[in-house]
Amino acid sequence: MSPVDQGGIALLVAIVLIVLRVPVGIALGLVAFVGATALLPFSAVVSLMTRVPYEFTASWEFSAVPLFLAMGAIVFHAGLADELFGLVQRLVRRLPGGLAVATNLAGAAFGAASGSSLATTAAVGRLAIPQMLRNGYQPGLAAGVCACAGTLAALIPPSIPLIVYAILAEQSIARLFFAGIVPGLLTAFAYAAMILIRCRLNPTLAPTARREDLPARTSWTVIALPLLAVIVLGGIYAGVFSPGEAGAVGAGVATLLALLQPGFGPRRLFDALREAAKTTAAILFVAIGAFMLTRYMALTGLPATLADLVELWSVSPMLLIVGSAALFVLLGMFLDPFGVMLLSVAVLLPVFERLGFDLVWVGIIIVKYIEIGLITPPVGLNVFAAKSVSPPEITLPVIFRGVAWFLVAEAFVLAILFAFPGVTLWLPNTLL
Amino acid sequence: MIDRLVHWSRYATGLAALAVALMILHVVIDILSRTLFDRPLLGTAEFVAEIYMPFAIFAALVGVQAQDAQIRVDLIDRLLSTRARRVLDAAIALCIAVIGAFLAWHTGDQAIVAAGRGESIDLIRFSVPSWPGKAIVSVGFGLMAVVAAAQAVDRMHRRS
Repeated sequence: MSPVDQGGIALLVAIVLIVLRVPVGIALGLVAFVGATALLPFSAVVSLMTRVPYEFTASWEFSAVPLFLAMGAIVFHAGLADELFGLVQRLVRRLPGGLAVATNLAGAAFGAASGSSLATTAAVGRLAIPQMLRNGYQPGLAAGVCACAGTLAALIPPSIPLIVYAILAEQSIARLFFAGIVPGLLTAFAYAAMILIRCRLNPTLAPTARREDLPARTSWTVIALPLLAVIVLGGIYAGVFSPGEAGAVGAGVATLLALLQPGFGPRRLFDALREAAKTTAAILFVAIGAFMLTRYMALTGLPATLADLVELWSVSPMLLIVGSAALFVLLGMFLDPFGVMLLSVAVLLPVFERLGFDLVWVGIIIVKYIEIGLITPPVGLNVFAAKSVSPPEITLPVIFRGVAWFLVAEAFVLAILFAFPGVTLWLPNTLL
Repeated sequence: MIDRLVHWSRYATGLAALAVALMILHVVIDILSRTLFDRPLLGTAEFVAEIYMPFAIFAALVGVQAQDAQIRVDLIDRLLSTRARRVLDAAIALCIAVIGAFLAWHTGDQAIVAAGRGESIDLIRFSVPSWPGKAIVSVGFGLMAVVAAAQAVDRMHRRS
């Protein structure tokens, strides 16, 4: 059996192990290790692979992951985003589906503090779902908008998937951050337009919210999220600090703002940091496994062979990227989105690179694909997160049905991103 | 026993949280110092990479394992009987324990060699040792293996 065949079989074994509930990091790392022993002497494989955990993570670049996770955790633990959400709700209350539109916009705003889709869905859902249900909103719409609003966090900077992609694909984190802004906002507007149209055509979906049901208080905390976004992105743009350092500045400013909140003290700050450390460990454990797999894939020559085949068959670049959507949807049915992204970086990136794609644009498209994977069955992690903060009578099928309309908006956004790469690349090309 | 391990793992996660806190503080002080006084702190990137990052990740790993918070896919959960799931969970925990122990052994070897040689990143006025970061990688994998082994025993025991 040729090394290329072995590589293909190894990928299938990895997928089977993941479906069998083996942690994704263990599955990827184990397959890489065992696969490599068929190609290299055992002692060489041990030396090659066991150095990865330290060499890969003892990294200045990866520090952006815990730092931005800490910023998001502090903001959520201190409730710094809650009043901004209340203000937006009051502003758009009279629009058709006003509370759902406000939830969607809140997802975009929370995304500026959090780099994690799941955290954003849980935070937005915890506040918004009970309010929408109290006001007679259709349960599928109420929970569905929270599941989808969370996906905005992966595109609107800071974004943990974009940081990890940037490091693995050797691209600039700053360029990816700025490239994510327009597609992220475009998605938020497409969601909002879809909600407005649906609720105008069928007003029973979302009755106008009663003013007394909405929080009336507004304090200085409404400026917390905009302030963090301006400091983080402004500092990167002005060259005062690097994208990784921006995480530390964001976490530092979030700590100062949080300590001004009544009831937030050192204990809750430490809880937030503990949560950030655990999430970092869980994410980077998968990334370590994926990096081992990348090393093994390079040994087998599978990515290079795929690239040769694509060239030989003269597959048009656009057909390849649209066609890869099918692969992502298929893998997304069995794997978690993070695993899908890391697998694809290991196998497909050399192909995209050979065909002359801008890898920043590819990164945004891949993150868009995996975010769609977060809201599609059977493994729709954001839908599960929305379910976890919903009352028990809202079942998973109800939320998946509510999400289906948002997928229509997603298709529209993807078509624009495919047809006009400038939508994604204009901002980073202009600013950086 | 599992409850006690979960409790003890909180101390390790606390150490990881401390590493994140120090990382934030160190980087912010560096930025303030170089922006306001034009005097960057020497070795910030080296401290972050060699010390804070390994501690933030690998000290937290045991807590992730203790709380079953590893990233995994629960696709076939509903298809399995309770008993089949327990057997599978026990087998996976055992597999994690073996892999964790293997990694702890080999990364521990690398840490001992690094400590013996006094490996460090040399800067102008001081040097940042690399062995503590390498040691916590080994300790983190070792603790993960211990917790996973206890989980495997616990699940097998519950089956009977």
